[in-house]
Amino acid sequence: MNTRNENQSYTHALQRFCDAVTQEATEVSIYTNNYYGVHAQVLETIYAVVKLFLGEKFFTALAYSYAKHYPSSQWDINLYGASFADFVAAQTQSDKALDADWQQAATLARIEYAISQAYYDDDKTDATTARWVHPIGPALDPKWVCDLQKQHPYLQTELNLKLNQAMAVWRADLKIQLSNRYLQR
Amino acid sequence: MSKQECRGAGLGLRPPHLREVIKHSPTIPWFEVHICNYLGGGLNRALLHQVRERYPLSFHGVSLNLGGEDALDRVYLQKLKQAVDEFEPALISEHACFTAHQGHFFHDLMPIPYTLEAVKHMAKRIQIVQDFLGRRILIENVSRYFSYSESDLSESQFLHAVCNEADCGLLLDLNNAYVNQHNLNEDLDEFVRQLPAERIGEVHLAGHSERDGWLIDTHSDEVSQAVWAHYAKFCASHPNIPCLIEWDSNLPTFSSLVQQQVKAQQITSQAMAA
Repeated sequence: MNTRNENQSYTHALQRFCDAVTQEATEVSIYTNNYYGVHAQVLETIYAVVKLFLGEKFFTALAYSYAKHYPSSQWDINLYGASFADFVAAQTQSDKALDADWQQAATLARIEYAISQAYYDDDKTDATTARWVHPIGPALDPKWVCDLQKQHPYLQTELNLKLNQAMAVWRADLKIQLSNRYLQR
Repeated sequence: MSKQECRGAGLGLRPPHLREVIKHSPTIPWFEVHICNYLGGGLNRALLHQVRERYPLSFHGVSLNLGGEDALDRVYLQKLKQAVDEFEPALISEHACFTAHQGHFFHDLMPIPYTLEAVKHMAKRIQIVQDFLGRRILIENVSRYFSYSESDLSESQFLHAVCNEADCGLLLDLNNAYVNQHNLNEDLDEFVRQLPAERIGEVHLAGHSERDGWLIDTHSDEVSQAVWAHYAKFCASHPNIPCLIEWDSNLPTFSSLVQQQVKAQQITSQAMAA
């Protein structure tokens, strides 16, 4: 009986601490700041071109808001942000609807998340499986494809990439491919 | 590739410096990596293989959630074991903290109450990990910014008991201990004195930053003079324990990191010669 009560005490202590962090209690403010900071930082790394597209001020505000509302559900922080593209697209319904081209930003976000997934894929499982990105809204400006290559230097794209058509992202050997065609080895 | 020892002062190797290390093969005795970034395949893992061909490695983890109550993640453990078998690191380390609770991953090193129940709980999980890996691991003291009213052990008493119960090793992070001394009014010398010295397998040194009177373990600067002094003092009586320079935020050039490593090596060498 004692052990059970003691375990409950331990559980409650951890629960109270987590609640304090997510509820932004003063006594754990350093942990709360760190929590948001770490999540925003990884979004900035994964979505480097979206950040360029939206500008630092918009992107940082979005990243912190996303971190606040989308808790991480897996150990690998490199794969955090799976719903960020939808979150960006949903800004068309917000009071910031006219402040940016959210549809292009969301398309870029989908490409960048697929790049991140392909980068961290296991070698022996689905590494050659393509993830398809279907553009929403107007076709991407080609400038952003150049930025994708600058920010993700292991990315290869085909010369005649059609930016208004579905694009496949996959890893072949050590390079990430972005193409309208999925070329299986 | 044979398993090698980590001796002297090593460096924490971050992905932006992988290619530089492979290209120039700097004279560094060993490297430590955050293993969570290499558990997938592709470029990171391929580059780490090239590093491993030339240097002993240490694997440092942040995702085992040893103090947490969620079940140990078997998928993560399996990936870790595969990497351990593949790279044969000289050292494997984790943190004495919790990182996830009820499926919510915080990606931070969060403190636990220091109680006898916590000792049993963490020790049991460490034993499971060690049995699964077939290797002893080191557990690291964490920086803390909060104290539980439930704690009835000091951090050193807690770590000592966990090490004995789990038969694991200890990674002494002197910067974390220094930060705790400042923030929580704990005595660093007493903390170190109460640790089981024979179980310390590695020392970490890092820089911190200051915010609103708190010292934050940001790994964003050079090792402070105070932490160097504590390291020299520790090293005088334990010169053969490998030490590591960690730097994560505001990552400087590789040559700046080497300057810190050279300083640590000088202290180590002087202690060994004395």
